[in-house]
Amino acid sequence: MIRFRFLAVLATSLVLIAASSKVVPPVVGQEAANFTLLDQNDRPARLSAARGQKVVIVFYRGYW
Amino acid sequence: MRFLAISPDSTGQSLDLAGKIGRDGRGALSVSLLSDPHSGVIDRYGLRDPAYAREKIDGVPRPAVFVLDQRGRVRWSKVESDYRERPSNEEVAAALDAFE
Repeated sequence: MIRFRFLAVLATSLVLIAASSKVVPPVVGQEAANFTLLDQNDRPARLSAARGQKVVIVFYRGYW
Repeated sequence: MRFLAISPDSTGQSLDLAGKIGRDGRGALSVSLLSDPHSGVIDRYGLRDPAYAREKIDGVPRPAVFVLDQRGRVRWSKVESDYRERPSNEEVAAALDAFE
């Protein structure tokens, strides 16, 4: 019985940890996470290289 | 102003798309189409669309636009849940003009 209760508590806390670690999109006021990705000409583009300029980031679905 | 567009497409697919857009008669594309083939950045931004979790196209992002200031902070954003819904050019332009 104690063992069962322990497992139940463990399972509940794991669910809570999973829920709280869910990544949500950055909100107004937050710094946008840096990234480096290749552009269409295979050149690396780094977000932080755009410091000093305004930046628009668009996420789109692509071709599928 | 820098304009970065991110999708799970390969760099080859992005090059195709840039070529298609460039052939619309309005000149070459001045936008960086960035390739996130494993959706790592899409996940870091919490944007993987759960609607496609069981499909081959798993990893596509929800449509989203972020306007960042010169220090890299988000000044405006819009995250949609359906790929057919996108913020208008006017909305984004207004968000860019809303700060110095």
